[in-house]
Amino acid sequence: MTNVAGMDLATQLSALLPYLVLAAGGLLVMLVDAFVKSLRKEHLSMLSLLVLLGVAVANFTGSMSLSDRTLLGGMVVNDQYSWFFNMLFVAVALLTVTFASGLYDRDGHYRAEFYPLVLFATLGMMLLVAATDLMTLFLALETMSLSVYVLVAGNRGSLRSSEAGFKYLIMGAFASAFLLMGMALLYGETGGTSYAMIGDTIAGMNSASLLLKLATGLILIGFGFKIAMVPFHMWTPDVYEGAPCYVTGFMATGVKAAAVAALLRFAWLTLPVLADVWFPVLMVLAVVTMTYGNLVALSQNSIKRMLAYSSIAHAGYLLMGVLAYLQTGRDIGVATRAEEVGVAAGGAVLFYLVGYALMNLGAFGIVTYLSKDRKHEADTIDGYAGLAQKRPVAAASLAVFLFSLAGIPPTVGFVGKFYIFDAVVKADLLPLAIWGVVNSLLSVYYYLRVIMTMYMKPAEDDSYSGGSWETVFAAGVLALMVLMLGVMPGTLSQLARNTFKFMAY
Amino acid sequence: METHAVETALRWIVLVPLIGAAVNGLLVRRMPRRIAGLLACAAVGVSFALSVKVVLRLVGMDAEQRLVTDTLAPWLGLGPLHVNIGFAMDQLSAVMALVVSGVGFLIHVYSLGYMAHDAGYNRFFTYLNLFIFAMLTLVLGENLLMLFVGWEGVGLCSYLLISFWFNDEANAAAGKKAFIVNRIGDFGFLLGMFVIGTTLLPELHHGEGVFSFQVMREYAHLLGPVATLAGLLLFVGATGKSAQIPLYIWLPDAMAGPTPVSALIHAATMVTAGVYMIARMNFLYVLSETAMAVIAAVGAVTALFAATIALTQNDIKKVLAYSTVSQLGYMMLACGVGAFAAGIFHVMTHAFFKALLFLGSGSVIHAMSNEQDMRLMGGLRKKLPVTWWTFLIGTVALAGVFPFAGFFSKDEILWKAWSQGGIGLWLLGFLGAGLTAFYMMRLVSLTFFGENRASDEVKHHIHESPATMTMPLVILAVLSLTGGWLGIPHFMGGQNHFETWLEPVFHQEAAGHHEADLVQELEHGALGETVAVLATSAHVTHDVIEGLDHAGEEAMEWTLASASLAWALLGLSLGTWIYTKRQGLAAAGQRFAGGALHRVLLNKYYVDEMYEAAILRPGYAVSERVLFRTVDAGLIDGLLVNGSAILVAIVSALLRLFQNGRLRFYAWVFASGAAGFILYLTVSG
Repeated sequence: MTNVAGMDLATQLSALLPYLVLAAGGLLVMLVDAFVKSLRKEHLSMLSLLVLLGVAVANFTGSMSLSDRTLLGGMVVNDQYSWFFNMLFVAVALLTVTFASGLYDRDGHYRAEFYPLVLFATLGMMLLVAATDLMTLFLALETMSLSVYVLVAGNRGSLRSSEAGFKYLIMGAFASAFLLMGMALLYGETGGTSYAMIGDTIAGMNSASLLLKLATGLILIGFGFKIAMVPFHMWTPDVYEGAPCYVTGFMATGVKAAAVAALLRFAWLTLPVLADVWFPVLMVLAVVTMTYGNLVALSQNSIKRMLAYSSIAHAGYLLMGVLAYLQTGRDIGVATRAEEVGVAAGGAVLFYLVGYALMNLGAFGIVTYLSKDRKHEADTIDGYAGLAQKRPVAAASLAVFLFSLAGIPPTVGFVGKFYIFDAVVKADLLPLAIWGVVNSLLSVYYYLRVIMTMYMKPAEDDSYSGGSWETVFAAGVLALMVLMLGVMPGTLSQLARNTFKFMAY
Repeated sequence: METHAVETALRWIVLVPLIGAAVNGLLVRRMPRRIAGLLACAAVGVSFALSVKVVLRLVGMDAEQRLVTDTLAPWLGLGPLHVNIGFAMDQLSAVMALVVSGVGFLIHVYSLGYMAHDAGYNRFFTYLNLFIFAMLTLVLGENLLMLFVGWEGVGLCSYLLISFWFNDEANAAAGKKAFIVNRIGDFGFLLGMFVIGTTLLPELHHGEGVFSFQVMREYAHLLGPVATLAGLLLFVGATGKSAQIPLYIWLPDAMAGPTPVSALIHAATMVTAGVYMIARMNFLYVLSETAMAVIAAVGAVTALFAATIALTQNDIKKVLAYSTVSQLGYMMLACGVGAFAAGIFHVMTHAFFKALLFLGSGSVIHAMSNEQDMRLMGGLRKKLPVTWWTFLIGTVALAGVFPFAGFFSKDEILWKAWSQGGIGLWLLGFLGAGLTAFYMMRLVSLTFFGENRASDEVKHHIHESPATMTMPLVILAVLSLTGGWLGIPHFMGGQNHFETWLEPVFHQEAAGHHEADLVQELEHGALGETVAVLATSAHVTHDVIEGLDHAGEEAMEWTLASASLAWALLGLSLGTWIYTKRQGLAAAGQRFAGGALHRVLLNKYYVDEMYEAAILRPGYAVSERVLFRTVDAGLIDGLLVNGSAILVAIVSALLRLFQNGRLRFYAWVFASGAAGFILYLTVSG
């Protein structure tokens, strides 16, 4: 092997340990399922959880010797930014596996492919954030997407699930085509695929060439699809509704976080010349995205669909943070305190992603918990009537998650929104912040509607009832975390800010 | 290593009672009663032991270095606003922590017996532990915001415990009253914090916690212009929590709670939070003479005013409640004349003897089958020997008889009021002191002397309380006797250890600093040497005068101390004599001036009625007619809420039509969006 980046192979491999453990673990779970006949169904989920814990340990110990290290000849980078998101994705995957296995155990028809697919999708997410080369970026994106397409269609008997998987696949392929075209143009313009090379070329330009603008625009469309940005969002409600609820939670948190994280790294790369070009478009799209999401969510009767539109709205809030960051690259007043505003904005987005993962996964966890089996998910809001009496812990947890999604203190959702709006105001975008607040107000209605149904309506015969204790336990812990981070956000927000600072400055 | 252990001990002082409350609270229905009670006692006992450990560590340090801090985590970080979750113990916090956990422990033990037959036993101990947690947060918090968290926490627990027996409408109303009146005070507190925050924030270096007491003290010179405003706003908070005029009205009603609660929260600890806060913010208050004058005046007037009401009350706990209001007035008076150490000294001695008196009254009430009216008591001296002796000690301590604890602290306050505040303030305090001795002896005479006036049924049940209740009484009685010896003043040949201990906290760095700056500035000027010579000679003159003064001062201190001792003894004897031998005189007093005076006092100067007429009724009227009917129902509900809801619902339903489930349509939207995007990129600059 040649020693590309000046590091010997052993060092490089040890730095890549989290990814290697995860890939090997995924394969192992698949092989165990195929060849170990005496296997009981719980064993696969236990094995997957062990693999994920191993990844967490590998990632954590890796952080001890953390420095800005480019690996595999510039294909991926091992920095605090990727470290931060690796932790988030592992946590998301752990919870997804926990929720899913709870339902599988009740249901009896377990699907062995589920566990390796979650592991591979997680690997894709991790690499997506670590990628510093267009090639890695695309491979990681497809690793993630292909696994998720199958996961969405995982309810094999259900027509809706198959339809959702099919729609997601077609639309995803469509979006990938745009992304790939953008990458090709970018390669044509800069003559390289590595971020370092692209960055150098861009730094040498006075203004953005048409080709560069088109290239990055197409790449932005590709990312916009993944984070459910209007007008590339049409798949979201159908897919979120059709997919099994634990997969929906996985997509809404993990996939979205990965796409936003990669988008931020890409925005940082192209900031100097493209901030002015991207800014007006993203401004319009952010406003439309959150308003559209919130408005349509108002008239939903399916909780999964409601959360799908809410997820679109949250994409809008996240874009507000990205906009505040872009503002620092523009040739205006903010540029004089670029670092202060940039760190506030990037830190806010990172914090929000963690908070959003906690509260949204928690909400889907409760939906999973209340589902009788995979054919009968706890989807219609009316079925939540009287839950407060029947399942007080589940109802209280779901109430906490919904309050948090609505941004009501003392929850992490409130603090996250506060940081985003604060960054937006610092970036001299006061009207945008006001619009964000108005949107939050709108959203309160549909979140509270569910809480009202749970607490103020009497239970009916067909109201949902409980499921496995692991699920509600995990969701209860999430609810406590949502509250705790709402009261003491200091440590996490400091970490998020530092992480973004190391990546971007 | 050892230092580290001591620092982390600080957080456990606060957290252990919280854990106790959490365990008891979560398992409230499943926990066996015995274990719940013992667990709660153990939690507070651990807090006390840890407090002693840290205080011993403090004692071992240099006087100026005495500070142990324990920072848990950053709490808020919003640009320049930086707040930590952390605890700190200096000399002042040490005194408070020992009093709170120590007296708190005794009252927990007492409650084991007092609440033994109550259905809400576990709930009671949960709240009690929660209270100790909040109170310790208040006194150990490292910054003003932590103090405020504790401040609100104790307010909540006070509310929960006042209306502990909430099946009775009156108890629930009393709890509500306490909560609402305190909210008014808290509003002032918050505004005061805002004033300090907005003044200091622009001046701080990055990462300095604006509300940290250390930082505020360091930057105190910047607070000069807002000191009066901020000081008075914070004092509004203190009048609520520490029951001063005009917000004292909730405390007498708060006696609706169980008696251990009255002893712990409404006598020994929570109500002194306002005094603690002012002492803690001394660097702010010394900057404003106006604020100090207001505090001294309010304190002195409250001291006398509440004492007069206590003369006529017939409910044993109400007498003690007004007595508490009056004593809190003395503490405020001390703070107002700048004698913060004397104020805190009285906080401590008062905690001992007032907790003792309340617990003693609880023992009486317990024996009398829950009767609280003193007109139906009497002659309990023989039947409740332990209660009687300890109660007597508490009474003489409160009256301020040498050598009991109250003598030293009250005398210190009166002397400081005389020497630093003026004769008017002293006279108010002095009159109040005589009345205190009188009404306490009235209480003792009616309760313990003479014949028992209760029904035969009740008489039959009278018995001394169990050991869990009498042991705390004995311990507190010993403290009520000896607690004052920590601060024997110099003129009596003592060292006043207490004041020396607290001295570094109240050391006026800011002022001294400023003066030194001024001198230095002058010395550098053209007139430098002349000024220096003048300054030296002035200093010498000052010293000489001070020496002369000293002898005169000591004589004056002797005179005042003797006068107040004689005055207290007179009050005590009169009280005994009238209410045991000459009941006719008391009746004559009631008829004095056509009975009008008695009526006014009995009805507490009609203050509640005045508030009702001046504030509550107009407030209700405005809420009902203007705010509710016109603004809320008409404007907000009718136009804004329903109107916008209809609009939004229409838009929402329309947008929903786009989601028709057809893949081809989705792809079309995607493609046209992309096309628009690309078009924009092509034509834009």
